[in-house]
Amino acid sequence: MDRQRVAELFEQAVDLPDSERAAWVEAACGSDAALRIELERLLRADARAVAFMERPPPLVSSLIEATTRNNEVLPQFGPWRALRRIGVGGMGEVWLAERNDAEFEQQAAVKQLAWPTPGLLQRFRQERQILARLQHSDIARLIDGGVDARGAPYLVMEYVDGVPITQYVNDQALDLRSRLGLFLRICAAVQYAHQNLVVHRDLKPSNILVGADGSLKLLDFGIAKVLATTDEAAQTQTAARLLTPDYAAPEQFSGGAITTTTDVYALGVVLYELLAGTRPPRRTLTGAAADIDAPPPPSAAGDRTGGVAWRRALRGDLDRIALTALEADPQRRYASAEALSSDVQRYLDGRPISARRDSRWYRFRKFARRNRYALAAGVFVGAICIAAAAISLRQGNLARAQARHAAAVQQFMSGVFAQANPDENKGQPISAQQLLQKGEEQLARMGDAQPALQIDVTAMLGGLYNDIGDTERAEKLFERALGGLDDKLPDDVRGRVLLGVATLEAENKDRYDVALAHATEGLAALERAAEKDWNDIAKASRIIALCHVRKREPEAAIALLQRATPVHASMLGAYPSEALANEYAVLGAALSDMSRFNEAETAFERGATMLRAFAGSDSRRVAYALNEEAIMFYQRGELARAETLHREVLNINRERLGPDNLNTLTATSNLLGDIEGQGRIAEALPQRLALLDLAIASDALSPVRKAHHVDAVALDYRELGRFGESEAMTRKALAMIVEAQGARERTSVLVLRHLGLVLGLEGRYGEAEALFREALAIQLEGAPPTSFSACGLRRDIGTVLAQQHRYPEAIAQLQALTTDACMLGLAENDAWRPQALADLSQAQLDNGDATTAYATAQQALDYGHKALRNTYHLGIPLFALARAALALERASDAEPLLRQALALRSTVHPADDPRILEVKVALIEALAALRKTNEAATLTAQVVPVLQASATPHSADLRKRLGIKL
Amino acid sequence: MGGARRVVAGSDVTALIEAAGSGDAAALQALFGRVYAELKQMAHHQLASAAGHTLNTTGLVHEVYLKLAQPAGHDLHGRAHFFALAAKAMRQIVIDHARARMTDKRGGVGLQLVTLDAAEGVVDGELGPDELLRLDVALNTLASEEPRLAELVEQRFFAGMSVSDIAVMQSVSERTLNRDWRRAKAHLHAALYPEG
Repeated sequence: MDRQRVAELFEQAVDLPDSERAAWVEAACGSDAALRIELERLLRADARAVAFMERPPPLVSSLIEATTRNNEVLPQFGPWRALRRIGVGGMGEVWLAERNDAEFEQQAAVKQLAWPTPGLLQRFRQERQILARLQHSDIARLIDGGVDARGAPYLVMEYVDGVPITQYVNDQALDLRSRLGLFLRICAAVQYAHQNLVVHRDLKPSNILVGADGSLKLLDFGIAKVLATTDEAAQTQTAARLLTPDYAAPEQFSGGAITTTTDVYALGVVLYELLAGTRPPRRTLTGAAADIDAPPPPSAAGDRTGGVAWRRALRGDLDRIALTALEADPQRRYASAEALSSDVQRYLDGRPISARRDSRWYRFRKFARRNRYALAAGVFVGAICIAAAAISLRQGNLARAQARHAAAVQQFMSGVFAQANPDENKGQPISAQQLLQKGEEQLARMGDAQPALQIDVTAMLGGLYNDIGDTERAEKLFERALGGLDDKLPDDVRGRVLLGVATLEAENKDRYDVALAHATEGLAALERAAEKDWNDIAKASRIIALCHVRKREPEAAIALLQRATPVHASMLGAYPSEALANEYAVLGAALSDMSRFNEAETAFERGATMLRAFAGSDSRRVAYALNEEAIMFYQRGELARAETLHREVLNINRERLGPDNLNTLTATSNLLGDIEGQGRIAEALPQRLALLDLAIASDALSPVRKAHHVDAVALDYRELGRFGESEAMTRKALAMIVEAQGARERTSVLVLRHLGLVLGLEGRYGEAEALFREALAIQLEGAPPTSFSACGLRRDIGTVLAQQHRYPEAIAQLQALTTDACMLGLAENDAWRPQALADLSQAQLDNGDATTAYATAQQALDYGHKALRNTYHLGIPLFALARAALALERASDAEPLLRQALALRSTVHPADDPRILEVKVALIEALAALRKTNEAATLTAQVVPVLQASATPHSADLRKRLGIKL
Repeated sequence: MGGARRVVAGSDVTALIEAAGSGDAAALQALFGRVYAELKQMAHHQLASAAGHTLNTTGLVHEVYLKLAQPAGHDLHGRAHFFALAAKAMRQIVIDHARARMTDKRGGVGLQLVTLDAAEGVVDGELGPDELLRLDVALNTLASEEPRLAELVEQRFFAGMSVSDIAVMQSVSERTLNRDWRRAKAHLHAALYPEG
């Protein structure tokens, strides 16, 4: 039973007055007994549930009881008995506990891990051995560990009664030298742990406690590694989400290896705090290390109560020590805790320290960043390039310099060209062209000295041209870059070029086979590179998956993404990434194509959530993910939800790109499709007309696409019964297509069909049949007879044959559809099938076989409930079944069906529409058979004048049924 | 010195919230553990100190939020996730205690139910522990079919959040929420008190 249907009916039913509800439920549920039973059950419950759950649960009484009785059960952890709770820790509660057995009188802190996560127990056991070996007076020991009744692990650690070091030094008002003395002890403890191959990973003042007697203890060594929740090799885990971001090193966020220098960073933060009295200000820690600004030196930070003298003492060596420890690039930090403490010791001894002075590169980097936007002139690009090259050469390390150089240039140019992105510029791409032109000029000036760099920048420019929609120039640049690919090229450059090419081919050119080949090769290259760029890897995977989806190979896409995306997610860390979000969007589309809708929805939500977090909720990139999700809902027939999403997409596009932008027009069209699909044609028509004006005026649309907008308006007219206008518009659309592409092109098939349909409604069956046959002929030139369009046209031909009373031919046409592949493999909620079956039923009926017709119609209605729900299209199978019932003299069955059909169709078609008239006529027949003569007469009086005024064969048929002679 | 060891909670929870919002299941669980522990403690604290045994569940959740997260710069999304989680934690706490009361032989029937709002009169429609446990089961069933409805129940009933609060945080209309709430109640009532 369809839960959604129950929900929809429930919501409508509760609004009805009591007196009307029962009847309404009857009508709405029709013959679906299960539906009615469920609905009524819910409604009865609703009536009784007025006060239910309107008051919060009795939490108070329970808790009062617990506190007054002092009976809260204290947990037990193996031999350890909890005495009292001492706080809230990383993942759960922390208890003070003592051992049960008489032998040991030891107190410990038991740290509960509230929820067991995959692999946790395994890692825990692995680490316990190592951690238990740490025997140092300044390190809190790990005593024991185990698993509680729920299966959640707990850790038993030496209980330390003390305060965080930062608090201690303030409480005791320690002077500078005393603070540094303490700091040296911390470094020594950390060094000891490092020598035993244990990295702390989560050092912070709350893990460094000082007791009343001045004893120092470091807590939670290595715990972070146990708690880390990915399955990847231990060295490269990104447990950023479980760390304290203020103390975590940049590489912990971006998936870099975690080594002893990670702890050095944390020590740097602690030192900074001890010196300056405040933490260094929070920085953006993602992106290239070169991009991360250095914090202000401790002497300049905060306002020390120590005063001027204190700050003077910090300036110079101590500043430099702290900043060196806090370098974003791990290679530029102190290599070990010992190196750091040695320099501190040197300072205390009055000797020169080893940390470098502020390097030219550092200053240069700062300068480049600040002046990013002045580069529109293009001159600066050159200056930077030269300067960078000079510095690199001087440093004498060519390989690394090259990489840095390329990175610097790219970073730099991307920053300039970021202005070209419509998001930043509210849809004004003009400045982008100029900027990119400057970029090309600069490229030309670069010469052939560094071929790798040249190709890299060429591909990058190509990608940027693609971003602003200039696919022609993009293609030219990529061609050049591809031409330059040879074996000497570094893998990362090769990968980037291929990725850029594949992106262009897949997203703008629909050349999926080529794109797939390029993307696959590119991915291989990117994965071979020494320094993997996981963002690019994610992008490449996404393109590959997208190609599979577009080539109708969703399984391949799903297999790839389900394997690869978790890896990318863990590598890219907790911070949202656009590439990752788009992977989720493609995964959602693939799952949706395989009808795995719940999973698809989850994937979409993840992607959209990530994009919102990344780009702010009004970015058009969010629109991409939302649109994919909306399409899924549309295909499932959940048009209301699709509408909501499409509306959001439209708002985003309209806001960001302007009302005339191509994407906005497409979004409008999608939204209108949802509205029309729900039967609100009258509501949609004025919007369609407005959209048509914009489409015709647009320079971005091809004539064929404009023609489709014209055709869409014609569709609305047709459903609203305005056949003359519909015919005129459809002919116009056809003319536009023929003029643009010639007469026998596949694109005209759809419009030909529509013209045939409206002519059929006008009663011009012969013409309609000719059009359908012509369209089918064109279709068959390029596609098999079981292609979707061909099946549709074969049905249309069958239907129009029936309308011309050529029943045996009609049945042959329509029956064939049910036996060949036209109906095989259709989704459960496919909207075409019930309608085709209904048409077959009517042909069978008119051919004299009411019993078979009834069975066919019943089948049609069953499918109809799933696919057509409560839309006006449901009228088709309803009507077919009712007619068959009437013929079998089951008027009482026919009546409710006809009433429902009439109600549904009346929401769209006008009263004199043939689709309304035929239902009314049948209803008259039913009412007459049921002897409800009054109502029959009223209805007849409505219908007869209209029928008499019409000259169509359809009306003649209806008049005949009523027994009226003209 | 002395004094118990206090762990500074704050910025790491922010990262957890962000990650949980991105769909990180492990972060979600970690966050849950924290919230759960914190709520329990705070509830005890409030009751122990409050003169008139009143407990404002919504206020409780807000307090936990302020304590655990740094609300400055938190987008609506992060807050929405947090509150959804806190509601789950509250549910867990309530159900845990209901279970405890059921198994406690001394508790028994006839305990005076305390009103939550002094201005209100007789408390009618309050659920006893066995009903709460059955509600918990029914809610799980509802969650497997319509997870959003179940979450709404958690937030409205267990966390005591108002419809307007929820509407703002989830960017949904109050009308939709009210309709959903009504439907959820019907389902749960039918499950708790079947006919026949």
